[in-house]
Amino acid sequence: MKQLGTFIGSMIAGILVFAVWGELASSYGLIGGWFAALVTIGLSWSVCHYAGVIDNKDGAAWVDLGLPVGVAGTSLGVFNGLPLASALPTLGVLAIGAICGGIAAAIVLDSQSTEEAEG
Amino acid sequence: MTGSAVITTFASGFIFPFIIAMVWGKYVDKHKIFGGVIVAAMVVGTMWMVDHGVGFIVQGANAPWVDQAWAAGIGLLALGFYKKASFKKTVPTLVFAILGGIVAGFILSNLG
Repeated sequence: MKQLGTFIGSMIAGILVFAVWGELASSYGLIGGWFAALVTIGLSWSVCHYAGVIDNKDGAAWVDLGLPVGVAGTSLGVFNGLPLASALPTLGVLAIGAICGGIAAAIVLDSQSTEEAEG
Repeated sequence: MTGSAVITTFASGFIFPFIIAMVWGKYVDKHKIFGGVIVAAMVVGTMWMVDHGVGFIVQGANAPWVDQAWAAGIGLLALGFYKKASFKKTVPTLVFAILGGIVAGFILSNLG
């Protein structure tokens, strides 16, 4: 039943982000968008990860609240009738970049702990 | 996508999860929930300005939105699996997170 939390937390994160961010950004520009992160991601993170509502098990890969937020944003467009295929080039390139970035982070983190271990 | 679009979009995808992986935990270790809220603004807010405000992530024409959040989600999964995390343990959470996102998208599409 922990996955009930994963589902609800993910849904909340998606709704929080896309309900208000656009308005804040169009009203206040770049700084509005920055502030939107403070309030929406601040709260979403507190629910999903600090309170552990998304069930991230030991030994499992981290399922970040970013994933359902991304899914929410894209599916919002699809539910509104936009063609998913049009999003795929952007998503594909972004995903490849992300995989490289994630792996790079793993490599850098490992090299930091190797250095600590060597003293 | 133009070559330039590929370059800036790729860069966004790379940088976002990298930053999260390197620094988010540090804010939380030091300042617990408050640290988490601050780093949400620092990391996600600042990256938003780059990715969406200024437009490093180039959206398709008449396309559903591709949020920088995808990069965070995918990048951190890649980090986990690169470090040999258990796929079997991850899948249930993955499935329900995605379902939650889809339902959120559905609810949001009913706005206005």
